[in-house]
Amino acid sequence: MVDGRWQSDVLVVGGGIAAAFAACEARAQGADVLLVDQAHLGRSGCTALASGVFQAYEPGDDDDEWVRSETSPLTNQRLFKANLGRLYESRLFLEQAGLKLVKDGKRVLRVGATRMSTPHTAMMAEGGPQLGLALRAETLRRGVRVVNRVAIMGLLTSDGQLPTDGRVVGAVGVGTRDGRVHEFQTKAVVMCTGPFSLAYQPHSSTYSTRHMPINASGAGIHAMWEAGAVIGKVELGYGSPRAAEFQCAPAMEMLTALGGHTVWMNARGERFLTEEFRKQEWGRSSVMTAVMREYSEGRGPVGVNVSHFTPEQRRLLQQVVPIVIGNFESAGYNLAEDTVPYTVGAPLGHGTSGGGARINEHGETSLSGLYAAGNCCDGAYISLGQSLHICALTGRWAGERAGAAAAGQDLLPVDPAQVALHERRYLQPLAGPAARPLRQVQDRVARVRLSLTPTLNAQNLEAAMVQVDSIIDELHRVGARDARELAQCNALRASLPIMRVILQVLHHRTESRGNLIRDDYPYMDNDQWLVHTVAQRASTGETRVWDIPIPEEWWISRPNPGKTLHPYFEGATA
Amino acid sequence: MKLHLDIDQAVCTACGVCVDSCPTDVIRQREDGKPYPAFLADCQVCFLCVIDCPVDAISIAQTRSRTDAIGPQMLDGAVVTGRPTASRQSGLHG
Repeated sequence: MVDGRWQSDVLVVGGGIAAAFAACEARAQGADVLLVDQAHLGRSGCTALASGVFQAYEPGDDDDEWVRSETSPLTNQRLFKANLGRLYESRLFLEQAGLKLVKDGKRVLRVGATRMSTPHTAMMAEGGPQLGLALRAETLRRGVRVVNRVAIMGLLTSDGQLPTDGRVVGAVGVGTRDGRVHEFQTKAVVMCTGPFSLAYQPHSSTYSTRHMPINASGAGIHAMWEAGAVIGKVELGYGSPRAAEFQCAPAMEMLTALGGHTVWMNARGERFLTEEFRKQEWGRSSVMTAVMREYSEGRGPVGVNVSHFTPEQRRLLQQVVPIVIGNFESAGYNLAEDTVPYTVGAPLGHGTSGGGARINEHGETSLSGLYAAGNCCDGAYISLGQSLHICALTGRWAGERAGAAAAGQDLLPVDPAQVALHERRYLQPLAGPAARPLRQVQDRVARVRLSLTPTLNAQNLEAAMVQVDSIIDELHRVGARDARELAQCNALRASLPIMRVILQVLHHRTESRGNLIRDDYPYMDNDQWLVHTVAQRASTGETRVWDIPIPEEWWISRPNPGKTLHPYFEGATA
Repeated sequence: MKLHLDIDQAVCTACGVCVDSCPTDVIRQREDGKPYPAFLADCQVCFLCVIDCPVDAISIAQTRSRTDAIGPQMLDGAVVTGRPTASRQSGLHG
C-alpha cells in the first residue's frame, strides 16, 4: 500500500551540496521543486562530513594552472576551463547563503595546493558542518519543499519497464523510520545521492571503509543503473586514505594545504610522500598510492604528523575541520605531539572522485527525464576529483536544465504495477525470518574487499565477482525485523549489484592509472586506454561494458602517447 | 575501538536538534522528548550531534586499544609492523 503520494515539476534526490544547488537552480527556473533525502537535508551524505575546505577559483587566477591541477588526460579540459567562472559564482552563492569563510581583510584567504604554485583552497571559518546548515537554510528560503528520512530505492518509467525505452516519470521511496512507501510523480528526477559505499557498517569493524560517504549506499546509482542509465568513471574512483580506527572525513586536503606533503610519516619516522607520487593524476589518489606502498613494503603503520605546525596552524585546523580533529582528540591523541595513524580504504567504495551515471554538461543522463549531479555521476569527466566545488557545479547544471525542461512538460502517469513491484521488493525482508543476519553478510562483503588489496589483478577480481554473485544470490534470505533493519537490508541490496559492475569494469580495464593499480598491468597505457570505460544494464539483466574514445576537442594539451609505469610500482622494493 | 556517546540529561532541553542532525539516525527521542543513542552500533562518529546541540549536552569518547590494528587487515598478506600502545580514553568535553 502506498502511504504517501507526491507530485512536483522537479524531484531532487539527496541532501548534500549537489542536491541543494540543483534544487535552488531548478527553483530559479520557476519549477516547483521537491527534495527528498534518506537523512536530513544539510546533514546527509558526503556534505555532512565536509572537511571545511574547498577549491575556490577567483577572477585573476591563472586558468591554465587550474586546468593543469585538476584535469588529466581522461578529463574534459576545455569544459573545465569554460566553467571556471561558474566556480567563482558558486563561492558567491555559498557566501550569500550564509557560509562563513576565513578572510584576510575583505579577501578570501586561500592556502596551499598539492599541484599548484598558487594557493587555491578556501577555508570555512566555522568548519565544514556550517556548510550544510547554510545550504539547508538557503534551500528552504527559496521555497523548495523537503521530505526527510525517505530513501529513494527505485525509479518509475513511462513504459513501466526497467531498463526502460521510455522516460523516467517518478520514483519510489521507503521511510527509513517507519517503512512507509512513498510514490513520487514528477517531470524530471535529479539524482544527487552521493558515491557508492557500504552504509551502516558497525563502528568496530576495522575493515569498513566509511571514511567519507557516511550514509551513502550507492542506492541512487543502483536505481539509475537498474533503469538502464549508462554508468561511467567507476574504475578510477575507489578507495581513499582514512584515519585508522576512526570514521571521519579525510582531512588530507587541509593538512596538505597547510603543511605541504610533509605531514605523512611512516613507522621509521620518515616523511614519505615523494615528488613522484605528487605528480600523479590528482591529489588524493597520489596520497593513497603512497600510503599503500608504505604498508605493503613493511614501513607501516603510517600516520599524519603535524607536530611541526605552528600553534596558529593547529588552531586553524581545529576551527576548519572540527570533525576530523574531534575524532583524533576524542581518542586521546594530542596533535602537538602524536602521530595519528592513517591507512587506506579497501577498494570498491568511492568517495569524492565520483562515478555513476554518465552525464553531459547539462547534467543529462542517457535516459530522458533523468538528471544526475555530484558523486553519483561521472561529472561529465570535468575533473578526476569531484570535491565540493564540482558537486556544486554539476548540481547547478542539472537543476538549470531539469527546471527549464519541466516547464514544457506534462506530468506523465505512473504505472501502478511498477509501483507495486518496487514496494514488494523493498518490504520483502520484513516477510521472512532473519535467516542470514545482516552483519554476517556485511562481513562477507568486507572480506571480498580485503581480497583486493593491495593491488588488483585478473585473478582476485574474478574471484571477487564469484563471491559477490553468491552473496547476491543469498540476499533473499536476509530478513528485517523493523523499519531500520529494512533500510539497511535495502541499502545492502542496492549496493551489491553496483559493486559487481565496478568489479567488471576494473577487470575490463587492463592498465594502471590513478587509484586503479593492477599488478598484472602495471603501466598507465596512453596508447590503448585514453578511453572511458562505461557499463549499462541490458534488458536481459546482463551488464555490458565497453569503451568510449575521448573526443580530441576535450584536450587543451594533448597527452603523451606510450606507456608509463604507475608510480606505485616505480622503484618498488617489495 | 569502543565508543561512548553521552547525552547529559540534566542539561538537555529535549529540543530534538540532535535527532535531525544524525546522518545515520542513531539518536531517537523517548516519550518525554529526551534523546538517547538508540542505535549506537551505527554511529559514524561524525560529531554533528555534538556540534549542533545548542546547550552542549552531548559528548563522544572513543577508547582505542591498539594503533596498529588496521594495517595487517587492510593489506592482506603484507608484512606490517607496528608497536601497540596502551589504551587511553578522553572525551571532547572533558
